[in-house]
Amino acid sequence: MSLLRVFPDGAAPVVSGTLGGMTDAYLRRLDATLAGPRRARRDLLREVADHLEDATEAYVAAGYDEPAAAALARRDFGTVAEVAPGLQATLGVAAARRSLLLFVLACVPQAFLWDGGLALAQTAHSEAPDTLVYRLLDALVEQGGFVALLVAVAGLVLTGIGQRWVRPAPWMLRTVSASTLTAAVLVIVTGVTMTAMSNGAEPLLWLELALLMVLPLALVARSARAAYAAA
Amino acid sequence: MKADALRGHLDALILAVLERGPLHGYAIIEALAARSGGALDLPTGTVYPALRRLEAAGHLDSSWSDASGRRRRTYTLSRSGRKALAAERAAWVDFTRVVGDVLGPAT
Repeated sequence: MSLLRVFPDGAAPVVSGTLGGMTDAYLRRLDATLAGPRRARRDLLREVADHLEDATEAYVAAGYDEPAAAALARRDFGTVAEVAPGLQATLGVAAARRSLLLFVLACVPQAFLWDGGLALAQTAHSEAPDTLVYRLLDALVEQGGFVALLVAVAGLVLTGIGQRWVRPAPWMLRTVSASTLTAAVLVIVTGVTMTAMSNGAEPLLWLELALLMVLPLALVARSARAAYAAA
Repeated sequence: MKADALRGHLDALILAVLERGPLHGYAIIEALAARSGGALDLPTGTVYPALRRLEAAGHLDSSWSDASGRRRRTYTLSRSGRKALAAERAAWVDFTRVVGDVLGPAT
């Protein structure tokens, strides 16, 4: 017997047999209740579907007919209202981790791209103005960015092996996600402002800025916003 | 035994069940039920968040593998999971000794 299948594209699990309509509806309700990274959600729902399939089979082997067996399997698993908060918590952690990882990946190359290494601003014949505001923004993006990176790495540890000691509460995940969103937006605004203040910024520099800073950090901001909602 | 009474102990119970070898989610729940003589009464859906949390903490490893001809997510106790289980056992022995001393009949 194989009642349950999960579409590989991440859609809700569906029932391939004819007797699992209620289980299918249960899985769809659960899917609609959960929010979080698509792959993690699909993985979780697939595991739930596998569990319900195994439990249904066990009840059938014990002598129940299939509809009764499926109903008992769902009853044992718990109602959507009972199990969704726990499952959502795991997705909230996964979403926060994803946005933190994206933030680290987007920020680590920035110093290499703009200051040292490639020094794209100089390559595009841009000259940093000698003004207090520019120097403040430069310090903000360098030192503030470094601190934000350290905090992001700490967040990754907290939501990883840190769970041995601390169970991330929803407010912690919301704080992490809001901080990630704020940091990403701040880096974008600071980078754009500094480029606008630079003398002789060429279109090439704006293009590089858009592709290498604004776009990746905009994706981080979007991911952090979704993580906030999933927490 | 109701879910409330198990709060705080579920992680250790899962680690103990996996000490004997890798299992998938349903088999873990079956093993919990069998080893407790059916006394553990909790919505089985609450076990999966605990499994994910233990995996994120590094106490469990998981992979999709074939079990009885089907693909199932299978969990394995990691080295850190074994250490955590040993620590939980020691703490439990201390706890039961202390509480037992207090609850025991007056002599």
